[in-house]
Amino acid sequence: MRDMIEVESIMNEFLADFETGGDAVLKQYADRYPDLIEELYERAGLARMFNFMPEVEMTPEKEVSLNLRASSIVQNLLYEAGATATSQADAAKVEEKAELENLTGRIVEVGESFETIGKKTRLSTHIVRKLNKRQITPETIPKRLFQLFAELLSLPFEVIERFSTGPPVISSGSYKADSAPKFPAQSDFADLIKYDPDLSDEDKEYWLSIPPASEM
Amino acid sequence: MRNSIVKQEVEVEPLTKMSSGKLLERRPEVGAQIAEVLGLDLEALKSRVNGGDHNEPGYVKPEVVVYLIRHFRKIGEKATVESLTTTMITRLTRAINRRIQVIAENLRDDCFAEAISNIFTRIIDISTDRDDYAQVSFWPWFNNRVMDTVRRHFKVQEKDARTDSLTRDDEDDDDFDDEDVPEDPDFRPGDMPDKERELLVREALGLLTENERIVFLLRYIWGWKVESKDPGEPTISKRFGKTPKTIRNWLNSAEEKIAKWRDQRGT
Repeated sequence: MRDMIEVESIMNEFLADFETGGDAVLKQYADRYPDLIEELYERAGLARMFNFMPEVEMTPEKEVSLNLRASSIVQNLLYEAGATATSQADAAKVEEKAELENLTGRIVEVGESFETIGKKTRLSTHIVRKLNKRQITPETIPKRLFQLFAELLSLPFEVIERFSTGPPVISSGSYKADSAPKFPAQSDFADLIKYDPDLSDEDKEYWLSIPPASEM
Repeated sequence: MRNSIVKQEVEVEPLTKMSSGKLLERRPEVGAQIAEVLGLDLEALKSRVNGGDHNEPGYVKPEVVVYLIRHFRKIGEKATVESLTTTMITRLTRAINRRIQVIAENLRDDCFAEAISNIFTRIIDISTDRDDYAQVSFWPWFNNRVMDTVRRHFKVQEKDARTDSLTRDDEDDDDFDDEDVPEDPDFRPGDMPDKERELLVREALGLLTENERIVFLLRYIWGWKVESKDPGEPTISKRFGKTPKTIRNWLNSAEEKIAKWRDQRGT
């Protein structure tokens, strides 16, 4: 199964090619991506329909009113983005540790689980849990994974990236131990993928084809 | 005021998103125009982006405007971001409005607002390179975003239509022969002159029920078949979850209404 960012990229390129190549391009893409055939047909149909739709005559008042409405929406988006950035920066300063504690709360908040996140990101539940405990060497994780998590959890990319680069989470029982707690060892992302029995060959191939952040 | 981030030689940040194993790249003319516009002072830059006709060679391309919005967001130049987004809105309003005519009239306002929000949320989100493609080929990217919105509204529209049809028993009032609907060889909406197409969209499609309207567009504009022997091929019947017979009835009814409309207009 492809992740949504990959599907979106394919559709962007398909629509650009379809503009000039028409049905021959549709056939090419349908042969290349049989799992996306419905999506391709639907987008091709909509592209045709968009071309078919004539220019709509608008009164100047109607146009001004639409522009004002759109401006108001974008102003709100800019304000929210600015406010979010400021509050994130403040929150990061004040309670960075709390924010970066784990992903579990956020996963539940957005109505997901480790299992569903795993399915949507083509990872096993085991690897998602490892990421949640920061038991994966940060430099070996592809940026694509941060992007996917940011998208699914509706968090900025940097928050996910910063979270993932923190020290591994220590087991909650460590405070009872006689000796100082040891950080659990971190695993290489590619090794986890290679040796995960729950991942399909296609999913392994997919993740192994993406270079880690350190090589970007 | 001189654009403070501009050095002696203007540096255009490269795209960082990978696609099909390669880094996305802007077209050379896009990169050149970014460098050229960034060399201007802020007032001249805003005026340059805001002016001109899209048929003129110096017209600032939408791919460039996307870059500029993100660039000035990164350096916190709020007034310039606002000016650039306003220009972009003016350019896109008509294009969005034209595309959403396919949606039922009562949903168009929502659809317009959602399309604007969807497009600009992504353009201004500097935390990710997910939408780098908007700087490679803006209009296909833009169409893709409007499609997301239109598809979601189609679902709402279909749901409304289904709820309406609960009062009628579509399957039982079938008296139509189970043959494919013979197409009128003279009726090719895709080849119509602009003016007639506009009338068709404005007047004739408004005479159809929501189901008839979508089925008509799927068949004649999208080119979908009612049914197909190929299980992989999407068909209208599968899309609606209805028998081919019901779909043909809807299509037949739509064609009758359109034929009547054309007779009355004498076309």
